[in-house]
Order: sequence, then C-alpha cells, then structure tokens
Amino acid sequence: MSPADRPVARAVPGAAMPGTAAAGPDAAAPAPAVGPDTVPRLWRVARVGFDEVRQRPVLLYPEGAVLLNETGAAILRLVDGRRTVREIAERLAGEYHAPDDAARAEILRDVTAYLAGLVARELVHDR
Amino acid sequence: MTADRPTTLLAELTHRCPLHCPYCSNPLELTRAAQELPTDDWKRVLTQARRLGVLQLGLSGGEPMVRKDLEELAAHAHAEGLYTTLVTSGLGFTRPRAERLREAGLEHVQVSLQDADDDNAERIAGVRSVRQKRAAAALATELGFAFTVNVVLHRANLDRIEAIIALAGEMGADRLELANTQFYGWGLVNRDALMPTREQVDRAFEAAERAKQRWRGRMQIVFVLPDYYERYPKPCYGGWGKLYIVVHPDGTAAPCHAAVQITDLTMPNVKDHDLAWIWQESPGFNAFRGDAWMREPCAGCERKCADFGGCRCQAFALTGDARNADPVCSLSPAHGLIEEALRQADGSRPFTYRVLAGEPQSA
Repeated sequence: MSPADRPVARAVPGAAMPGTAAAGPDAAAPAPAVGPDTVPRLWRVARVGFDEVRQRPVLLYPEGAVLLNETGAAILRLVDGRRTVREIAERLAGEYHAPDDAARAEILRDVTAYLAGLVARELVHDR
Repeated sequence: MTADRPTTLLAELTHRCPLHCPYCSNPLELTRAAQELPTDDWKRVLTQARRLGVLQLGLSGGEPMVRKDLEELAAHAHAEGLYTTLVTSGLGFTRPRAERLREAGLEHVQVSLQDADDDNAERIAGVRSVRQKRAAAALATELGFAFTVNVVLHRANLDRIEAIIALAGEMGADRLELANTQFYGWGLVNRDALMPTREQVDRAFEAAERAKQRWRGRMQIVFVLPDYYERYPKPCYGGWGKLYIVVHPDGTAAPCHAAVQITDLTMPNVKDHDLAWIWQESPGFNAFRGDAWMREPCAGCERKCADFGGCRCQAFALTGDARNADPVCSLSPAHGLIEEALRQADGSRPFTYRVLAGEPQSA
C-alpha cells in the first residue's frame, strides 16, 4: 500500500448504478486558491476516523473514504474552521521541532498543498 | 490473484418498493419477500464486511424502509464502525423511524427525486410520491443527517436540470448526484424511451458545470456522464472485484449490481460462504480480475489499466460474451450496436414500469 494518501472509495457517483464515468468533484473545474491566510474547515459531513483493519486514519464522508497518512491526519486534526493555514503550519512546525526558517517554510508549503488538494475535491472548504 | 481490500458494501435488503421507475437498477427477476435474508444473516454479513476492510455501507433496495429491522441493522453497522448511508425513495421515511435511525447511528440519507416537475416526477415513478419525498428531505436535514439528493437523468427530465439543481439546493442537500441512466436490466428494457439526445446531454453537462461553481462549498454536485455518448468506457467501479460488493436480497453476492445478469457466471451466496472467501476465493469475484481474461482490442490496448475494458455486464448484455470489449468503447468491433441504439431511440416508446410480480399496483 502506498504511504501517500489515496482515495479508496471515490464518490461511487450514482451509487445506485453499475460502474460510472464520473465528472465529479475530482474532475471538477478550477478550485479557488489556498494561501497562508485561508481559513479551512472540514466539509460539514466529513469526519476523520480510524480504520482498525488497515491500521490507518481515514477521512470518511458520504460515498467515499480517503486513507490518510500520519501527516495528513495531523493536519486535519488542526483544521477547525478558525485557524488559518499559516497557524496550522506553525503548530505542526512546533510539534515536529522544525529547526529553522527553511524547515518552517517547507512545512507551510506542504500544508498549503495538502489542503489545496482537499479543497479541490470539496472535502475541505475555504470559506 | 491477490485481491485488494473492498471499501464499499451495498446491501440490497429487499426488492420491494412502492416506486416503479423504468430505469431501476434491480434485476428483471425480482426477489420476493419470503426469499429475503433474515436479520441475523445481514448482521453477520455486516460484521464480516468490516473485518474485510469495508468502510462504507449502503442500505438499499428496493425500498429499504419496508424492512422492519432497518433500525436494528443500522445500529449493528454503526457498532461495527461502518459509515452508513440509507438509499431511499423517501417513502416510509417517517419521523419516528427517521429519529430511531438517527439514534442508531445512521449518518447519511440519500433520497431519490424523479424530476422537479411534480406531475412528471410521479409519471416517472409510476406512483404518487412527491409529497412524501419532500417531507423525507425536510426530515433528513432537520435531524442533521448528511443529505444527498439523487436524480437519475434521462430524456424525460434532462431539460429541467436547472430546476432540479435549484430544488435540491432548496431542500438543503449536502450533495447532489446527477446520474445519467445506465442501460442495464429495466433501463435496457426502456432504452428507447430513456435515451437522451446528444444536445440534451451537452446542455445538462454545461448546466451542471456552472452549478458546481455556484454551489461550491454549499452543495457538492456530481454529474455522471451517460456512457453511450462517451468515446471510451467507464472503469467498472475501479475494476472488477476491486472495491465494491453488492449483496442482493436473497444473499447473492456480486462485484456490482448488474453482474448477476451475466448468466454464465455463478455468483456466491452469503448463506453458503464467509464474505472473505467470497471476496478472495470465489470464482465469480475472480472472473475478471487482472487482465488475463482480456481479448483484443483490450488485451493490447494502452488504456486497459485505465478502464479495464469497460463494463463486463454491458459487454455481456449487448454482445452475449462478458469477455468482449464494452461496446461503448469506440475501439470495440461491436460499437455499431451503440451507434444503432442512439439512432433508433426517439423517446416514442412508453415506459415499461418495474413491477414485482404479485405486488399491489398503484399508479
């Protein structure tokens, strides 16, 4: 299994249908930009759980699930609809004992990119 | 061949349903109430599914609300740690039962709508149903369920897609599934009546794309393309036996809804086997895993890892052999069947409504 997050049960769009060609949120139109001042919040109907079978944290939502790695789960635990992306990155930099500004900048880039991916899939909202 | 872990189980608890939709995904041979799995069998299946890795459960049918043990099954699923969706017409989703389902841990309710035009909606469903559906939608949001509106699109409702999207928005849906009819079983019987025109599909697609932008952050919109108008086939649920298990009301397990219609395959039954054996070992679930079964043009095709030769069930239904390329694929030697179907369909045929023999009729 890939260490990276991967969707395991994509939107089975048209759950009442045999196999589907989806133009769903993943294939969707351009997503809004996510920056350091964006205040992300988890989609109202999504939640982070833990899959005892795969021993992995998992983001669960209607008709879908995304297996998370530890970093992804750590980011999502800090997404509360109040913290900005920068504040989330700073918290993580503290937790991971980032040694210098370069390391902190890299964490900010990674957190921004990670959340931008989830915003594009409409699992995290930016407003 | 090693199987991945499944993520999704669709439990088709019953084929009984107050609606008669002409595109129903149930098989033509419907199961009678007396042949339905009892409560304890379903509970065992849910437990086995979670152990196998299933995360998402759909309680579906038919109309699952006709099962008196639905609350018990929802509670069992929740205790096992499954994220559970109720797939309902809305009929029977009454306040006391909805409240009990909420207490039982049900998380997500999907209500089907047939159209934004009330008269046409009831003509498609074959029964008076609009008032109850609106009440069900209101209950789903009031009780705080995650709420999806599902609309099967076809020739007779595609032109009202904007009104349909607006209606789902008014209802407070978190998600809207706009799924073009797929032509299996009842849908195939009604293909001439349901087949949209290219212009209808193009307009609807554009309307859905605009709506995705407008509703972003409030209502997630999923638009499922009609595969007859596609150049390449759809990748059957990420590949045969890859993610998905359907258990039919009589306990027959299959990799998708339509697989039981491949009559030269024998599908296992949860009454005879553990779900782990069914998933990993059964000949039915292994029949089209990997690509060793493929013929040309699939076997040598660079797209074979993207769409897996398309849908085995459609290949069987239209060519008589499930090993053939899905004829929806423009590279299939049988693609003429699709072009012919598109030429022939003019919407002039009346609906053949889904009927469970012996059930009371009302329309």
